[in-house]
Amino acid sequence: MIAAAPQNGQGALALSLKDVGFSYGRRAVLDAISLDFARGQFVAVVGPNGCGKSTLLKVMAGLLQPSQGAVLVEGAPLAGTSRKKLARKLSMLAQSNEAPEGMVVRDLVGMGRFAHEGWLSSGSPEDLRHVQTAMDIMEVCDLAERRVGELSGGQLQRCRMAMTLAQDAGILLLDEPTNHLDLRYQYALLETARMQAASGRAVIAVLHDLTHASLYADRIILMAKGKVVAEGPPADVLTTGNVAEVYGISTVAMPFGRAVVHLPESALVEKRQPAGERK
Amino acid sequence: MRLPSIRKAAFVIRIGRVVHLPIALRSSAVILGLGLVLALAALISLQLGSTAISLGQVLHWLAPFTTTEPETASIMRLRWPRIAVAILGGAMVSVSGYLLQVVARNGLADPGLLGISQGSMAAIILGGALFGLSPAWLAWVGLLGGFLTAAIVLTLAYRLASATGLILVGLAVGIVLGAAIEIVMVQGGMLQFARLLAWSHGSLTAASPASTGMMALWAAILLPLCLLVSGRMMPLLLGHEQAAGLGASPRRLSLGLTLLAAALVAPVVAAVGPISFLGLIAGHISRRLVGERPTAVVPVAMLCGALILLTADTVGRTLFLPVIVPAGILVSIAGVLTFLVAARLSRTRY
Amino acid sequence: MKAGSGLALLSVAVVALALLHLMAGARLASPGVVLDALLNHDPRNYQHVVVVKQRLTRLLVAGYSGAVLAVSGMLLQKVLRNDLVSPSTLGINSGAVTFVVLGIYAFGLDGAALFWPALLGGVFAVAVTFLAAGLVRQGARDPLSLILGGAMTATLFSSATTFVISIDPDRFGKLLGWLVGDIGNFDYQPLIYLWPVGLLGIGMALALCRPIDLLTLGTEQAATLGADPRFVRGGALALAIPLAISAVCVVGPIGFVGLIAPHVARLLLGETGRSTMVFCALTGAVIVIAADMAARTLLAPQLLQVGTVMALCGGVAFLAIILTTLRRRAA
Repeated sequence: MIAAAPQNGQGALALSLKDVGFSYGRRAVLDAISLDFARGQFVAVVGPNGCGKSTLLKVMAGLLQPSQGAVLVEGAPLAGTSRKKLARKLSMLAQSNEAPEGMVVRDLVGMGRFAHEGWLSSGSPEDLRHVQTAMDIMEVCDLAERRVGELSGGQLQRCRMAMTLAQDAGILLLDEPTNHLDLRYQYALLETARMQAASGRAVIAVLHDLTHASLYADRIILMAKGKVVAEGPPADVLTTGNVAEVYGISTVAMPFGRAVVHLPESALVEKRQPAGERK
Repeated sequence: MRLPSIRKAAFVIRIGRVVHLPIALRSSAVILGLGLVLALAALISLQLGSTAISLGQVLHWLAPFTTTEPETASIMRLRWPRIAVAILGGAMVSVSGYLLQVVARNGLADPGLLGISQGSMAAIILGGALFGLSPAWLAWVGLLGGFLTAAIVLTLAYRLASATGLILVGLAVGIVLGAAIEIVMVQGGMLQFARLLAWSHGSLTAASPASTGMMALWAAILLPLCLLVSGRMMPLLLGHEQAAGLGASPRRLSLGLTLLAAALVAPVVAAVGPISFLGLIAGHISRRLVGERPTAVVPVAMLCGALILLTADTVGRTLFLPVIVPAGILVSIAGVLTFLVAARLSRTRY
Repeated sequence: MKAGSGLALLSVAVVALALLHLMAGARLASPGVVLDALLNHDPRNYQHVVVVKQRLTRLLVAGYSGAVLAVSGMLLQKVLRNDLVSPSTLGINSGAVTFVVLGIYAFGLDGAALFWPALLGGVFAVAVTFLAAGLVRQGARDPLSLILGGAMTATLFSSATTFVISIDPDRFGKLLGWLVGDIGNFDYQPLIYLWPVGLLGIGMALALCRPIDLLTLGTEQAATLGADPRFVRGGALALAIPLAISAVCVVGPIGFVGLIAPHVARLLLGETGRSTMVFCALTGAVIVIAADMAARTLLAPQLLQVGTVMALCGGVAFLAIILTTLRRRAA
């Protein structure tokens, strides 16, 4: 754990899972998971397909009810909190890329402010300010008047990220946020996530790419089969032993500064023979 | 659609090098069984009615070279056309539905859902109401209307590059045609409107020896043609490109099958009115029974459709006496329900 | 189009169309006569009586049902995230008709009391449609399945309606016009009792507009943005069905207003917001008023039913919507 100097809420406990389990019918997806997430940290959740990382994120967002244990948001139990109250504390970028094609980007981003609006008040100066800031951060200002149907997948993803930022919540959950993005915006988005953490939010992202996770995250949670296999700073978690155990392939780990790059051993063998000719 | 698995044929009919017809055991058993059930159902439905007639009398009437009491004979003269129309109409509509399913590569196609029945009906109403054509001609007019509608629907949907769009386009075209029909019907005054309302749901009350003869003529030509064509349909199940790769000419084949489907529906619409969902259900059930091989599905679909329509009509005219429920209503109610159950069952299996 | 100018333009169009509607008919009334009849009504003047008693009620009935059906369709399209959904394509109309016919046959109900069986029928039909759609669905998001389920439900219920009518055709003689959707002279009677349903429903729809907009982003995203998806969806359905039913009770099953008006509004004023909702209601009113005028004048002296005219135009529009949406998806 990184013990950063507690400034603007840095280090304060934002979200914690106490012995959380979840199952679809009889199949257990999450098994007794206990984790704490502090403000000011960017945490990446990684693991193979179907290990339960997206389910974990949904449980944290209150979209799924855990079958055992409890989720605490800023010390208060999540169960029973109204969605609107919760949305002021916690925002999430969902994986689905769904939005009506005729919707204008400015309206889409503005939807992020819903939790701060009253029944009759919307579009207050403060709302507009947050929307503008979020669009600035995600570099989508020039798309503001475009329709969703005209956007590329990457552009839409950035607009949706802007919407999530406009929500201005202390906890930011990102479900595979680099989907649909090209190389430049993948890094830009991860950089944004890190900056958001640095400004005192708790940022938790499900990521696929171990290199991305190790480059940007302060802490990595490695999951397999509904359990946490290892957690901690990237270099401690992403060891060849852990990767072999979780993903079932042997790799060579190459540290680059704080990043760890895992390359498959099989690809590094120089002389490969075609499968058919092997005796 | 699932693709057929290759089954080993039980016997092969072989005449020199020209004819080589493998017969699968399962489908021949199904066809035989369905045929027996259909014959039985026809016998029972000859018995039932406002005046019940014993089985012995029915058999006596059926037996050649014997004379029956005039009373029984006159009742039978009223009943047999209706039963024959139900059997022929059921067979024709359901094969038509199956052909459309193959052309559209969509198990949900049906002449009623694709607007073809409505096209036939609109043409027939126009022909009957405006030009006073005789029933024999109405079938031809209906064929023209049905085929034009099918052509329009298929061309519109062809450019959508999505097989699912076909049904929606068909629904929309059917709605437009339905409104047009309504305009004509309302013009004719309320009494005629009420009568047409029953016809528009498929009623077999109007079945007469004349309309039976007309339908039998169409069926005698078209149904064997369907059986003949069924051997050539298999490649279409794989999609147009693959079919062309296999040496079939998918465009010409699709066009021909669509024409055939419209031709099968037209005389039925002219005689008893449109019967929706029958093609969809019969196709679905027969594919469940014998798999996807068109040579097996076509005869089974014929028998299934005949059996369903006959049962629906018999139930409709006997169960709620003195009210006679149009068979089309029962078919669509029973049909929708069976279909939903079938959809449910097939889901749990896969 | 800016929301303000769009609404202003449409309001002008509504007023102009209303005036035209009051003028048109078997005997053409000049605009002066119409204004005269409205402002200083003379009960002894035959033309005044015709304008107020016949045409004005028709106008109100048409406008009311159009607005209400349009808002109902808008709610359904947004909440179900399906551009092809409307009260008629979901089978609500035909379910209501069946239960109305049953109510007349079994309990001898009439007038505004028919609202309750109709509402029951509408709810029942939606449930059947959802069930059927769930059974034919292929894949998680399949917009077709709901429409197909609706078509099946509509077939089922219209078969049942025909059955009930065929039991005792004489009893339903005067109902035949209503069955295809008609605005006759005596239709204002249920409206007197039912207009609060429409007013309240549209008001609530405007209040719920924002969370309903959120739902278009998907259930999960809407939830994390602060809307309770189950509450919002349930609320929108609980508004949409009575709204549609209140129109069906007055004019019969008029289709397609609920499908087309939302598309027009969203195309012109944008996807979200309260002004789009208001615009949608006005568009619906314009469509039905225009259809009523067409029904009365197109084949004069023969009268057509407004439901038939709507089905004819609406079917074509439905086709156009299908062709454009599916082509866009394929591209």
